[in-house]
Amino acid sequence: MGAERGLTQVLQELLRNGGSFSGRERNCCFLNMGNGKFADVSAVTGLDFPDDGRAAVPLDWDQDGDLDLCVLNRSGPQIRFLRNQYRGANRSIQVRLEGTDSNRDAVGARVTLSVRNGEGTHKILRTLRAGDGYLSQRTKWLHFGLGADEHFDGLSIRWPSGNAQEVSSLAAGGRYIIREMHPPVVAATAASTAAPRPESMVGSQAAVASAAKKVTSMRTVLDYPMPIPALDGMNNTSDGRGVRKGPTLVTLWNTKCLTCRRELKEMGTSSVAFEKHSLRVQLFCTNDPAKERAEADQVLRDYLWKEPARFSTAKLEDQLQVIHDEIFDLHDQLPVPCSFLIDERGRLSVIYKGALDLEQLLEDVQSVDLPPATRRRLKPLFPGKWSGSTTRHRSTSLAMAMMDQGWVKETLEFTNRFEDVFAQDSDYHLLLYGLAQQHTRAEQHRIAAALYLRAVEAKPDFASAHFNLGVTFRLLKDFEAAVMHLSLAAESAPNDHPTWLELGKTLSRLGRIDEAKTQLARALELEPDDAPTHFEFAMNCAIRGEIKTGIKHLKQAATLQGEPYADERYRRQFRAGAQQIGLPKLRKQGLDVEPQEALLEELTSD
Amino acid sequence: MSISVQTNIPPAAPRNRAFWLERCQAICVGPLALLLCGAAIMLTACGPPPDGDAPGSGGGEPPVVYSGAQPADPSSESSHQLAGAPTKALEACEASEVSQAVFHVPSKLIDERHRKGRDLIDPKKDGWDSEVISQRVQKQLDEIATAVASGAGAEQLQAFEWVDPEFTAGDLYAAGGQVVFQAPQLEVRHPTVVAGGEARGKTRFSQVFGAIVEWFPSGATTRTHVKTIEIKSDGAAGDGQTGETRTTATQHIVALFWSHAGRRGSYHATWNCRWKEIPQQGMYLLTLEAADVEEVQYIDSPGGSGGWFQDDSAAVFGSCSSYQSQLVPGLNHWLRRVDTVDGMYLFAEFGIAVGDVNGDHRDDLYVCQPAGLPNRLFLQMEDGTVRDVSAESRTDWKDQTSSALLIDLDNDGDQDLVLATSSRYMLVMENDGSGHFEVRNKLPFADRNVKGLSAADYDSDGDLDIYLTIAFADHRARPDEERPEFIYYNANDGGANVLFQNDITPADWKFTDVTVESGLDVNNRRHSLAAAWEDFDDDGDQDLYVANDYGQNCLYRNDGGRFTEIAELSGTVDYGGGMSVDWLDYDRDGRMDLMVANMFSSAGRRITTQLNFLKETGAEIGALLNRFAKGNTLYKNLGDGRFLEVSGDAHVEHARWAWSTVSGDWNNDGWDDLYVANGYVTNTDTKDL
Repeated sequence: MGAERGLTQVLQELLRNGGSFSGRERNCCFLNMGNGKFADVSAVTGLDFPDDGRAAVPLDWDQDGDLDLCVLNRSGPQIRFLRNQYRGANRSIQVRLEGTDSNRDAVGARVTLSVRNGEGTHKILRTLRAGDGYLSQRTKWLHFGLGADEHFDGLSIRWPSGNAQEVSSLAAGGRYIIREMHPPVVAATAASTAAPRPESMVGSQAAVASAAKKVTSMRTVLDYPMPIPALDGMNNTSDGRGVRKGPTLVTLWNTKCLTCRRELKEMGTSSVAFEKHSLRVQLFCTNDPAKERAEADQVLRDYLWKEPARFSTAKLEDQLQVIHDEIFDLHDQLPVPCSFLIDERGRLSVIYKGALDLEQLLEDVQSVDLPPATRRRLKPLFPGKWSGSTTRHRSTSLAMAMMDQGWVKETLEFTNRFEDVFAQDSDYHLLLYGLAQQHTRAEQHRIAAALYLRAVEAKPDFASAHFNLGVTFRLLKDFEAAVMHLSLAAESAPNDHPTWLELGKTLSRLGRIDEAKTQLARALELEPDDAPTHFEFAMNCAIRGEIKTGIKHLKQAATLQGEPYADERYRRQFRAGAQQIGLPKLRKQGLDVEPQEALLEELTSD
Repeated sequence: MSISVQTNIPPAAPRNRAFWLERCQAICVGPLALLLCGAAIMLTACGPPPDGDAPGSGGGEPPVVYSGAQPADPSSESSHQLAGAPTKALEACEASEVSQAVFHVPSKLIDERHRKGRDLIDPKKDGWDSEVISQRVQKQLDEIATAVASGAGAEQLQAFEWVDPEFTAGDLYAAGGQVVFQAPQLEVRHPTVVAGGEARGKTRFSQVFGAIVEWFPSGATTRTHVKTIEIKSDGAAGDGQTGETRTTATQHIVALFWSHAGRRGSYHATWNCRWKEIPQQGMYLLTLEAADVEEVQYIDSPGGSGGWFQDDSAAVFGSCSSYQSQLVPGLNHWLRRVDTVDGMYLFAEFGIAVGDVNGDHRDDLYVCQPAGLPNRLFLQMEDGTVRDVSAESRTDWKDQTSSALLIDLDNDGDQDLVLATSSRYMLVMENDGSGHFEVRNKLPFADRNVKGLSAADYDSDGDLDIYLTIAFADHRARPDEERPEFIYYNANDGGANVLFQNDITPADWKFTDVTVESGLDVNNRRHSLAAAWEDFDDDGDQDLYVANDYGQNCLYRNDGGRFTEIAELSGTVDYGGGMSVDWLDYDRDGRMDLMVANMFSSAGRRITTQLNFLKETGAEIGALLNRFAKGNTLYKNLGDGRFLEVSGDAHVEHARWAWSTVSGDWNNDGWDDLYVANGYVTNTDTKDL
């Protein structure tokens, strides 16, 4: 699938790596000029924020008779309240309905205001809707603008129940509650005269700026600790007694980073606490070891670290980036410092981007083994509750991302190490299949075969894996096994032409010519115009001595192939095949059938 | 899927204007392209990544050894830009200027991604000649727009090198002309621009742009925007040797704006240009004519502290700490902090519901949030500020919530709450009358990629039923289903929308999925983003229009609780990426008209009209894809069950990548106006796809 993945991955990665797509587009506002046309008033209204706008609801929030807007954005600020300050002379009427025969909210009610002006009478229509626009539900107050010189004759309401009601005696500027088939009452809350004066429109923008500037560290707890591959340069048995107990903190740092230095200083004096929690810290310096080793060593000495500096490899950095990108949908470059808390089974428990808080770290160390639902409650950010259940990352997804980096060996090791976890993933068989394919390409057919076998173990009717297994076994000269898996592939995918072809070929190699012909005939049913199948069929005919049929298919193969040399090449091979049954016999059979044909002569001549 | 071990397709070369080109590719390349579409989806719509079919085939480049730290681009927005310094003492570091440097882990892997990304948006890399021209022309027009907006004098205007000596132009702006709309504080005018003009070359150029310079009051704050929407060349480019030239016609949408001393003005027009291309030298402007020129002038309200609409978010929400800490930062901020398994993703969206939850006749707001952040319930106080009661009302759900409804489900006089979450069920909560909520039901459905909710009493039995739209299908949750084909311009393989019939009794808040028996299962998997109910045929029951991404929309006519899909019959198919629906009587003829939001993409407009695009897609599909980029659609209700598209005449098409397009009478003049929330993904990179 290289082609498809290539393009789309790049596109998606472009956005995930900070790219924009129809971004910074200014919102629009169109004014109805009453002549069938709208004027573009986006800019003069001041509504044209360059946000990624999504939901929008008009509502008269401050009850001053005109419609304000509340808009939700993908970008920050996520919400904007936009107050309508137009001071034209026009007034409005607003009504809120209450159904009795109808649904209580009166959703679906059609309210029509009849208006008279110098040009005649017209109607203003409103329907009470619950849900329109995009992801939006507007207010249930229906708003009617009245225009400057217009007189209104009254409202008619068609209730969802079918009831029809006429309402008069409304005054411009009023807010009324109308109960189904009852006279209107003035809404109890009058407009608040003490509507807050906005601090200023700068308020929310300044807030955006300040929120963006604030340097905060980012701590993300994984509900289910996530299996990760062995990290490059990680020393797993530093105490020399085999696998050690307790979690490990992997931290990337740089000598030129102030926050890193602070963190190193603090951690350097906390070794006792770390030992108490069996926490081992592995520091990896991102400086250039060729030029800055002395400086890095010096920093560590200054902060009471006993060991000299170790440097991160490009591989380690890429590994951590790939792991990060599994967890977050925005694929920022990793900052320094950043730390990964890994439990003793090699599973990632917490990620810290930026500085970490030591107290928090020690709490996290103690909670590595808590059940996922409990860990979910330990997440930072804000209080609140989950309705859905927690879930874990698919390990297969990380493994596939690693494979995309070309880390085949590491992916295989990773898969083997956490086999029990991988086996829970619904696409485990696809991962094994992908791994096997990589080994096939590298012509490591024995490893490939073992992986294909694991794939079909994970998914017994996995036709593609059976097929590849069949082909692989044939390459390994194990024809019996090849036939078995090709047969299983055919069973799972009976309409797949290549399966029948390969099965036929393999049976032929085993000398099971009649069976081979049967399978090849099925292949021809599926793809009547496939030259190689015709040729293969012809060969088997030749071996069986069915020269006339053989020649027929041979000619078809040559015609379909359409190459000038195909004819000659096929003939040569066919002759070689035909000769297997012994020349005299062949000559006799051939001559019996069609005594002439130069072709036959040629085919059977010595 | 081929199942031969020999299969090893090399990765395709990245192509620019990827989105539109991909549409072409998706159609032409054949079966393989279908898989491509599956993954490409994320770019246009808003779904979570579709499930992969098979493991990657590798092809990734081996990591390159990187040595030494390098500061990253300091302009990138990031809250984790960390300070550092080469000096030893921490105190010294803090004082040092160098400590402001930004550090990231050096990564060739990331560099490589960025390189591929850059290649992707560079038209020079993929042979799209028209896009190279477009960029060049765009750059030149941006230059002149910037110059006029900053008060360029005649000398400066004469200095533009890319004006042909034979240049001719009509007026771009003229004072006077027809006043087409007048109201206090507001005037809309169509200046009379005369075509032609006697002068030529730089003199004429300086004249027509000088008029615009004068249009901007001196000292004003200004803004300009030029978009290239069409490009047509006569023949191929010359090779620069023989001195041959060719002519290219381009069309642009131009928006200019100023604000000064309590007044604001805007200029909108279409500019039609012709250019002479001299190979290896550049594009020389031959002619320029303006059309559809519209000028708007607005005078701020006396005593007001801003324009017509003023951002008072801080005044309303500012006293709630949740506003500052949760609602101000924006999704990109949370994408860096919240785990994807919680439902956080790049294309996450979250809606809003308005309703009076505590019966004080003031509207309150329920604000949905991305995964990991609790939804907010804001009660409106007497003074117009809000109080955050999310926790005490028990509505602070952290699940990814796309939309919510506040409606009275049990007809007891208070507003109950319905949430569409990506946890594959709809959460139904009962209000106890005082604004405290209790979960009464969790209604399951198959797909995760939920979008909008809209309620109506479809069966006229006196209670509210709920319609839920879903964009992408969740193929993992549908293991037994053979994956339907995805056709970009006519998809019907998405998630299944659901109609839940309200069968509530006091003891049991029961809902029944009646999608099939009501007839709404027809064309029900078209990647639906929004729906709105309306009795468009005035027969007393509620009909339903559904806006679908990737192709056709649906209009379901209700005949006593049984639906028939009549989009085609009624003329409301509206091929495109449907984003939202609203109903309004824009022409006050007493019938409800239909407003559908679609994307407007200038890149899409340009590319889908090129011959080499059409060669691949064929004229018919090419035209469809061109329509995909055309923008919003307004349908006039003809009253006989049919609708007529009037978007172009009404001037409402060009609303960019539109989402909510909602109506309301902003100036109380009795005519319904429109507001369009738009824009797809804004990220740190200012270069757009």
